[in-house]
Formats: sequence, C-alpha cells, structure tokens
Amino acid sequence: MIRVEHLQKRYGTLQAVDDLCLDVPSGELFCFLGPNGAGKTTSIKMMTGLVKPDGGSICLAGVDAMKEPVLARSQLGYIPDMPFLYERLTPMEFLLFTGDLYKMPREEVREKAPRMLEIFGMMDRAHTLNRDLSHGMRQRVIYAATLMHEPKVLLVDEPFIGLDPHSIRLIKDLLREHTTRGMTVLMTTHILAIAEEIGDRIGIIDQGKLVACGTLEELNMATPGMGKLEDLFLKLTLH
Amino acid sequence: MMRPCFLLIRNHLFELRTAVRHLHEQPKLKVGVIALFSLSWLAGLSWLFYAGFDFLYRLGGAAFFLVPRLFTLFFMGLGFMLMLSGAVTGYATLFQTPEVRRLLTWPVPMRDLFYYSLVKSTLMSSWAFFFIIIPFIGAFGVYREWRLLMLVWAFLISVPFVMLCSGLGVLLMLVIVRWIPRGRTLALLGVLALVFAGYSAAEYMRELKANQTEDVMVLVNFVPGLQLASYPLMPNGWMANGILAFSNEDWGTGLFYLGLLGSSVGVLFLFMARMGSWIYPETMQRQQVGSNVWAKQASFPSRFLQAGFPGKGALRAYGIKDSLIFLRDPSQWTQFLIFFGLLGLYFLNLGSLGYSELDPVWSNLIAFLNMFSLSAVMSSLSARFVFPQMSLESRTLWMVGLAPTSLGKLMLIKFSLAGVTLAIVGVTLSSLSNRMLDVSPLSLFLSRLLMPSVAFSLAGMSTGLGSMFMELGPQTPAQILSGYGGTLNLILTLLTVILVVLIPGVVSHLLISGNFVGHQMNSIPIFTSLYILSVSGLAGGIPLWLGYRTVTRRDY
Repeated sequence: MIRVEHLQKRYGTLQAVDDLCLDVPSGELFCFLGPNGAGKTTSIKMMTGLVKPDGGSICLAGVDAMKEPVLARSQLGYIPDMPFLYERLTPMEFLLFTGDLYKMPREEVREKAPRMLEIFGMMDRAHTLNRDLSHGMRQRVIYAATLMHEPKVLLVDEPFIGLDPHSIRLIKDLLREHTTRGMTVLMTTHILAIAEEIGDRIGIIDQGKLVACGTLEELNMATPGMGKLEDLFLKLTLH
Repeated sequence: MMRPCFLLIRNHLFELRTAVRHLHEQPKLKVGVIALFSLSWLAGLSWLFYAGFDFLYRLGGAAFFLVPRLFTLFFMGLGFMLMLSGAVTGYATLFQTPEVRRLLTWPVPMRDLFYYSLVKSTLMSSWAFFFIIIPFIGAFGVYREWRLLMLVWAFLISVPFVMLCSGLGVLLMLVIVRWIPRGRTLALLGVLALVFAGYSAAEYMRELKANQTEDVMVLVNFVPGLQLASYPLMPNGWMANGILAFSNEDWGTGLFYLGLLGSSVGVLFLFMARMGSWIYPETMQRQQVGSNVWAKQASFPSRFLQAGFPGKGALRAYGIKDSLIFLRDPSQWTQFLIFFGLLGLYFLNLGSLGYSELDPVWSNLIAFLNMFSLSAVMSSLSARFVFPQMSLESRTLWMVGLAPTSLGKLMLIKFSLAGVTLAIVGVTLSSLSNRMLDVSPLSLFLSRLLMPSVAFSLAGMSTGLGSMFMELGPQTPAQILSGYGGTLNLILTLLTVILVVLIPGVVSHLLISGNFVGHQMNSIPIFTSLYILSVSGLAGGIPLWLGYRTVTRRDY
C-alpha cells in the first residue's frame, strides 16, 4: 500500500533522506521512529508530495505519487505534529470545507460530517469556534476531518503530543480499528511504549537511513541482548 | 519601586530605541519607500491645504465667516475617525494581543495592565492622525504668515484633542464590549435601544436646528454635517476656536481652549482609569469565553452561505471559508468598512454639493479623480489582504496541500475570489459616484471598463507576488507584509493604479475638453479601452504566471 524505493533528499550539504526503502502492506500500522532531525518528517512530506524528492519513487495505494500526484493525494490523509485549524471556523464548518475541498458529494458531506463529530465526541461543540476548543478537542476535529474522505493511507506525525489519556486511548483505538478495516497507517512517535503497544512493524531511521525494520520480535532477534525497544533505539541512534 | 504599568511602558520605549538603532539593518527598499511616501504625503497634503486656504481667502470677507465653520467641520470628521480608530485599536490592544494574554499570567495587577493597555492603544490609534493635522495647521500658519510661537501653540492644542477623541473611542468600545447583549433576544433589545437612541438624537438635532443662527443655517444647506459640528459642547469646536484664537494672537482665548481640552482629557482618563479597573477584569473574562461555546446550531451566515454559495469543489470551499472568516474577524471588516464606507459617504454627498450641475469637463474630471482614489484604496487593501493570503494558507498545507486539487489551482481560486470582491466594490462605488455626478456616456463607459480591469489587475499582482514571496510558518499578516515582497507589491500596485487610471483619465479629459477633432473622436475611446485592457492584463497576468510557476515547483 505504501511502497517507497531508494528515496533521496538533500538540503545543501545535508543528506536528509538517504536511499530509503519501505514497503508497508494494506492494513498495517507501521511505526516510524528516529531521533530529532533523523529525516522522519522529510520522508513523510515526500510521501505527501509537499516536498519533492531528489531521487527514488513513491507508490501509494497502487498509484505512482510522482506521476499522478492528485490521484495519489486523494487516497491519502496526513496529520502533522502541530496542525493549524482556522480559528474562526467551527468544527462543523471545517468538516464541510474539507468535504468540498475533497470534491465529496454535498449530500454525503452533510450526512457524514455530523457522524464523524459524533464518533469523536465533538457533536456538542460542533458550532463552537475552533479558537475556543482545547488542544485535545482540536486534535479530534483534525482526525474527523482527515478521516471523513476515507483515505486508504494515513500518515500521522507525532499524534499524541499534549493529549490527555482519554484522547490518547481514543486515537489508539481509532488507528487500530481503521487498520483492521484495511487502512494503512504510517505513524511517527517518540513515545516508544506506544510504538511497542500498537505498531505491527517498527522502522528506525537515523541520519536519513533506515537502520532497522521489522516486528518487535524480529528486532529483538536481530539484536540479541537488547531487552527493550528503548535499549535498541538508543544503541542504534546514539553517536 | 517602579509601578508595573510604568515598567511596561519603559520596556516599550527601550524596544522603540532599539528599533531606531537597528534601522540600518532594515531592507533599504522598505525604509526608502516609507520615507519617500511620508515626505510626499506631508508635502502634497500641505500644498493641497494651502491651495484651499488661498481659494477661501480670495473670496474676500466671506472667508472670515467660512473658515471657522470649515475648521469645526474638519476637526469633527477627524474626531470621529479618531474615535473609530481608538475603538478598533483599543479592542485589539486590550483584549486580542498575545502580549495581554501573556501579561495576565504574570504578577501584574489588573489595574496596571489596564493603564498600560489604555496608554498604548491611545498612542497607537492616534499617531498617524498627526500626518493630517501637521500639514493642515502648517499650511494655515504659513498662509496666514504666523510667527513660530503661534505654530507651536497651535500644534500643542492638537495633542489633547487627539488624546480626547481617541480615549472616547476606547471608552465607547469598553462599554460596548462589557455590556453588549448576547443571545438573540438580548441582541434584539440592544438593536431596539440603538433605534431609540438614534430617534432621540434626530429629535435633538431638530431642536438644535431651530436654535441656530441664520448665517449657519444658510451654510448648513450647502455643507452637510455643519449643524452638528457647530454644537458648542463638541471638542472639535474647542480645537477650531483655539487654533483661530492663537492665529489672531488672542492668547487668553487660545489658552482657555487648550486648558479646556487638557482638563477634559484629564477627567476622561481619570474616569476611565477608575471605570477600567472596575470593569476590565470582568470584560476580559467575558472575552476569554467565546460567545458561541455552547451554540446549538450553525450561525445564520454559515447556514446562508452553505445553502446559497455558488460553484463546487475548492472554489466553493474557499468562498465559504473566506467569507465566514472575514465576517468573524473585526480587524478585517472594520478596515473594509472604514475605507470604502468613507468613500461611499463622500460619493453620496456629491449630490448635495450640486456637482451634477457642473460643466461635463469638471464632472468628468471629478469622476476620474474619484476612480483614482477608489483604486488607490483598493490597491492598499489588496496589499493588506490579498498579498498575505498564500502565506497564511501555507499553515493548512497538511489539509489543503493533500486535497485532490493542485496548489496552482488554489492560487487561481484565491485570485478569482479577490478579483470578484474588489470588482464588486469598485463597480458599485464608481457607479454611485457616476450617478451623483451625472457623467457623460464616455466617462460611464470608461469607468465600467476601468474598475473591473483595475480590480483583477490588483488581485493578480498581489496574489502572484504573494505566491512568489510565500513565507512558510506561523507568520502574522503584518510580518508577511513588512518583508521585501510586501513592499515591492505595495509599490507595484500603486504604479499599476497610476498607469491604468490616470493616463486614461487625462486622455478622456482632453477628449471632453475638445482637444481632439474628427476621426480622433471615434478612435481615441477605442485605443484608450485597448490600453486599459492590455496594461491591466499585463500588470496582473505576469506576476500571476510567475507566482503559479513558483507554487507548483517549490518544496513546502
């Protein structure tokens, strides 16, 4: 579902992403780990089309993202670490805006928008301005808007920053539920415990290179003596 | 130990000093444009006022009767603008700035926070008005051959006047924000109270009219607003009388009015300090909690736009989104309302000045000058609102950048929406001006061609340059505008207005004045139309194309 081959990106003298190859099948939750500045966000941005790669190829849901970017993006949902919401729109208006932007039929948007807000427990704040919502509520609105057009691939950058335990549980359950239904999720996080808990496979990137990739068991077998993911992560990324 | 409010003010003075010291680090183009614009503005306005006084005093004895009345009218207009500016700036300074929100978490007493914000908003809302007052008083002083001391006193009296009007604006805003009714029934009651207040004011004015002197009544028929301006308890009258007293070297009367204005400012600020300390904390609390936190249904504008906005896809999405944000952001709609509202009022008043009975040469000239002012306002508003659009949208690339629409298309949608909005405003106001002036068919034709051309040209240039100089990240519109791209856009849009409006204006003036004969009479309008279309097309089209190339090729 996500196939990345020999992806390259250089910023001046810095090799941000170096020959990255990834293959994430349909229905998998892939956790992408790495220290700050390792190239996680650049890799994700290349997959979204916001940053153009210097070399390599990206295939999303069977569509070549370099040749047919608009079609590839229509299959994709992306949630950055600090997403901006229009302060002077309400959650309902933001969802209707998203529906129009994604060219969804109007009747479908009107039927789906309240349902998505209901799922995320935001229906009682549907007509409150976004600026009056808490961080956790905003995140819920963002998830509702991103999932409304039912993307086949979801890229999530640091989804748990600043969230309360209820919201973390809600998002974890949601990601698991959607992967069970066939959605492919690629998620970056610094919370290793969460990666261990919900990730089907884990990839560790350092200095633009994928230095480890596999299930938790596979990673443990490949590096005997490392009991925990934290130890493995520190060993592979400490310079 | 220094009080917190004085500490905060001193901090700002330090910031100002640092900014002045680092002026040489600013882009040369920006500093040069600001300096050139300020000097040209002061010189141009001084010359216009001087020519006006020259005209009035050439009328002979009537000038001694007219000038004091026109002074009161001038300062009344200025006073109302100052009040409006005070109200808008005061609201932003007292309730909206991140600085106030940060200071609320610091150990600064609420009273000191209010004093500090009050001083700051008064200064910020009023300093620009000295760019009107200085040329006015300066031109009058030079024309009347004042001594330097008289000029100094005349400038001195303007300080309390400016502070008084601006302070009244802040007070008005504070009262409205504190006690404005929320909820539909309360809002209805508020509207009814306003209607009643308006009716009472009209009745009062009628009574006032009955008590006016005959000479004022004669003038009132020609000069709208003079009746209100002549009311003796209005500070604009004190200001006018004070300046005229200093001009006649009547020091006693001049100082009396200076004292009257000064003491009024003192009383107003004491009252506001007392009242502010009392209601500011509650008002701040009220502002922190949104008015629609528990709204059960979408607002009326939202439902209206969702039901009736034409188009589909991204165009519809952005049309609705931008309209709602515009309506909900007072800093946006008040600027539109102030600039276009003032022009609209002026155009409406053309009828009562009898300009429609003027020679067609004059009415055509005035119509073109009006179109030029309108286009100049459109250019500054397109620089303010259209230029930063693409940079501001870059914050939502996580959603917009991934939508099945290209960023180039998004840029074209922004251009279309801005062009249509500017064209509607431009055509409506120029039609009003043309109607009031009863212009010739040629002027009417050129104006109908000019205003949409100017609108789309300005929208194209600002959108295109805004895309070429797109700033990524959490920037405010002011930060985006103050860069190299913003300054370049301001210069080029003004240049476009000069090229597209002034040159056809001159040609049309020469045509109506009878400077062309025979076949030229037919070919000149055709060439003028082609000139307007080609220049505006190039001025808007080239930056738009360059901007399109930039947004489709760059990384985000």
